[in-house]
Amino acid sequence: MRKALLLGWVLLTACSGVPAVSPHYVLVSQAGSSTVAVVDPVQGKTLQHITVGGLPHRMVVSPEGDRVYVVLVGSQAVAEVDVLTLSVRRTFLTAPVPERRPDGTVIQAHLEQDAFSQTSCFACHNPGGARPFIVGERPVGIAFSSDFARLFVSHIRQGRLSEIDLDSGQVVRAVNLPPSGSANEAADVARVNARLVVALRPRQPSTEASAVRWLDEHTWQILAEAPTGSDPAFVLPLGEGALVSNFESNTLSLHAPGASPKSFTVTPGPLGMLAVGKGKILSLNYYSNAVSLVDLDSGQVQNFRLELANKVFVNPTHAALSPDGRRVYIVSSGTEGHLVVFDLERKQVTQAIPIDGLSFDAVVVRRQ
Amino acid sequence: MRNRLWLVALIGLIGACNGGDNSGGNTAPSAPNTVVGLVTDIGSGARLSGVTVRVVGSSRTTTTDVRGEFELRGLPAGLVKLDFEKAGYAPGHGIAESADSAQTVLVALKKDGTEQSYNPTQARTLFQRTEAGPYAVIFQPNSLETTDTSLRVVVTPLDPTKEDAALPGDLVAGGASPTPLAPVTFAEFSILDSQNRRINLKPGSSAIVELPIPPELRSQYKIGDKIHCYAYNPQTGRWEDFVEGTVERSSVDGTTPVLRASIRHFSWYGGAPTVQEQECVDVTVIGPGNKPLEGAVVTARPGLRAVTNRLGQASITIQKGVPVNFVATKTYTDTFVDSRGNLIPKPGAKVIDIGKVYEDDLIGLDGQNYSRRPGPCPAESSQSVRAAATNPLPIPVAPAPEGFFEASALLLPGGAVFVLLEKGIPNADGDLEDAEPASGAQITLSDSLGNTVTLGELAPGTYIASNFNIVAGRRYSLSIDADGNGSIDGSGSAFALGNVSWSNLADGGSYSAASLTATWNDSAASQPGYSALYQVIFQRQGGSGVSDSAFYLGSELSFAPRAQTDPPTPLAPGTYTVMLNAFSGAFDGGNLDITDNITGIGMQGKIFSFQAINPITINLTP
Repeated sequence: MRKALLLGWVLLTACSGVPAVSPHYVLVSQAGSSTVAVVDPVQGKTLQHITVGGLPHRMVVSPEGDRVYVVLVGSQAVAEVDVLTLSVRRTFLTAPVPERRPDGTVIQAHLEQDAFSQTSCFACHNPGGARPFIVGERPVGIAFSSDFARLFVSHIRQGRLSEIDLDSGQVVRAVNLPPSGSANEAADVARVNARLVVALRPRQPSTEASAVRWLDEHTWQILAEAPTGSDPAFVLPLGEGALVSNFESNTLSLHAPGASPKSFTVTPGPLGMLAVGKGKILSLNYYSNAVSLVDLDSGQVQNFRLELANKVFVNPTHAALSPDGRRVYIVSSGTEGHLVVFDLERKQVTQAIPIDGLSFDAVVVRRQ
Repeated sequence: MRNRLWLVALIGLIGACNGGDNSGGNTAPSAPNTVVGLVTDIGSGARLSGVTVRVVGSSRTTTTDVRGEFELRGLPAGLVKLDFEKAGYAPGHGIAESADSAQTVLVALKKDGTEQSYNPTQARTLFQRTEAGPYAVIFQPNSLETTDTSLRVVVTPLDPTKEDAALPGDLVAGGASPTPLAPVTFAEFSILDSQNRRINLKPGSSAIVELPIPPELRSQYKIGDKIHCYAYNPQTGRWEDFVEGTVERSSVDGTTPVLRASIRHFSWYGGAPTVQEQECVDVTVIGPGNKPLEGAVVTARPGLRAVTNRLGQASITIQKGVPVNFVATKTYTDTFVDSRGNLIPKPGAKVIDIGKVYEDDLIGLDGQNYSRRPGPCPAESSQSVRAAATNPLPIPVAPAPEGFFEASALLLPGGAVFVLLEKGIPNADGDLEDAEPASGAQITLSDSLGNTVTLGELAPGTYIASNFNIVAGRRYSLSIDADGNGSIDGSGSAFALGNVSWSNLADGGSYSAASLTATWNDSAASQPGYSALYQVIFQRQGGSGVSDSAFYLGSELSFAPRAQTDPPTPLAPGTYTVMLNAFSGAFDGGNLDITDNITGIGMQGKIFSFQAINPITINLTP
């Protein structure tokens, strides 16, 4: 009997497509439904939806793994998700609630409803609440400070960079970055040691130049700036440098201060990137429904279509690495959403878990 | 076998004895793994024959018959993607589930835009002008996957506020928690080479497109706003490549607000944000004899799709706060409908039951009287065990009418309503040929207070509501069951004109030609949604027509008459006849264009109101 049970367990584990690794969940930001999905890759299904706010996009995990910070592009805020309880612990505004509209008129509802005391625009601008639903400066990029006590957030509108103190949940510094030519949208921010790397792009669609700017983490003084490809979307810190995905020009460019950027061509629409081993990067290529495995040392690029049993998984955006480093959880963000499991050894899709359409980012957290 | 045939014949006889009670609705056969469809013209509603239908991913093709219908059997289970092609029309696409019973695809094709030549070695902006503004595509040089330098570009605009039935596929962000997408502006882009092959962008290349925001939606979307954009992928049957577009001023005319976005693949393309405010509405699909139909597919736009349960009911997630279009279909294979409406077994035949309810036409009710709850509907598994809805929105279904119907409905303020209904075959221009009066229709008129009347047939094809007074300035909705089989084939609405009268002119009055500004009143002018056109004519008695006549056509309530001279001058002194006419409903624009505002499958028409004010005679002094 025991043998049969053991055999059954072995078979079950083998058939599940996921080996016995540290138990974990994959959290997926679902922009279309204002939620973060809690996905169990073993069961192959979404266990829970956590309502976080308007247009959840990028996510980062705290070093202890007990918190996940979710950027709410539509609610001008960051949601702090507690990994133990799988619930929103706090939200932080990433910019002040405005008193007036751009034309100078007073926003009466903000005064009457004391909007200035809220910690997310989602408290009022939610489904069924105040209109419009999408408001604010459109925060998009997120990075921890060196001491992990603060968050840096870049904003699309106004090209703003803000700094949030994690103890108080308050914005302690905010600056509208000077544009680089017509590039005035801060598409992403990352931290490389004690320097910040900001990707600046013009309002899209555009064929104008974009730039990568290096700032001192503490003073925000400009240290260096270099042109990059069209529509930079994501900055991945890599040692002393930063790898930037250029969405429109189908390249990844490796930037380092004082050196010319090195470029790698991938299939169309590189968006998210993931370090999957020493010097190896997996690029999620949105428009080509494919991933590229890039060897930064040799320059070799291998491309793989995301398909399983003749089904193509479209529009990959971001991805997360399984704790054993053998699998990648990729968000396929078409109107029919999937969390696609990509086996790095076999270099193929092994599983596809239904999630909401128009999802965006994924992180792996410990199962508590 | 012999016994079985006899049994089939007996069932047919029993059905025929039902006296028009279509009670076989739920028991008639519906072949598994079968997709049937009906293809129509989005402009006229006419059935389209000779349309090539291709099953994506296979070599299966068929062609629509003279009734615009097709049937595909023995399909593999799962999502079936179909392409539709007919010369003169933009490519159409549809999806259906190949499942336990036959499913229906309703496809409306749109006549394609004007062809423009293009040499792909050059940068170029090509555009198609419409009333909403220019639809444009901006090419970078050498961005297309061809060496042919003689290309033709066709941009087919689509205004989803009026033509959403022509949008391919489901506008839904699906997955674990489906969310409707709210269509804003769309177009189809076709690039053809000299061999008539479709050409697309090189992998990695992009173009920029600009799509006007429809006038009805401009208050919702301001310059600088971001709208999610998608391209339709015929291979997957889904809307994909979600990127953000920006509302900007058109680069063609510098004024029209357009959605400007980057495009990577030429197909259907457009903007549709996710619907944040959702409601769950209960519907019930009923066949002839008010019998609930199980297994009918109901599609809501903006909204999701659902299948009716054994009570004929379904709960569907819709967008809150906007008029929603509901379409229900139910298909029977190896069946035909006899002259009394009975479903009779017949191998190879098919019946496509269709029902449409447009909330925009439920005036006075606005759908609010029907069962609806805040938020999306619960998952399907919990729907199947839910209690019967207390007040679901009824959607009557019946076979779409054969032939083609055209209606003209006149609302006479303070008087009656007249409807002329004809049946015939539309020619290439959409006009009916060999038209005959259509008898036996069921036509109802509702007003904005919820009053409803059924029109009587005064003479063949002429319908009138007796004892029903059309009130000036009130909005009316007409529902037409053209073939009298219980399903609404077309509907439309219009305001009856208000009481229109001169404000500052009186019969026999004398006025200065140099300073005269004629003004008039319309008692309904301040009503929300009311729109009237006024025609004013000044004509000197015995005059020549140049220096002594003036015309106005527009929606203002005043007019300074000037002679038809260049530059315009005050009218010559003399005695003038002054006429004032008012129009509402199907009339549009500065040329008094008449557009169809009654729409449906197999029918089109106009509902309008007209008022001619008694002409007055005035004297103009220098």
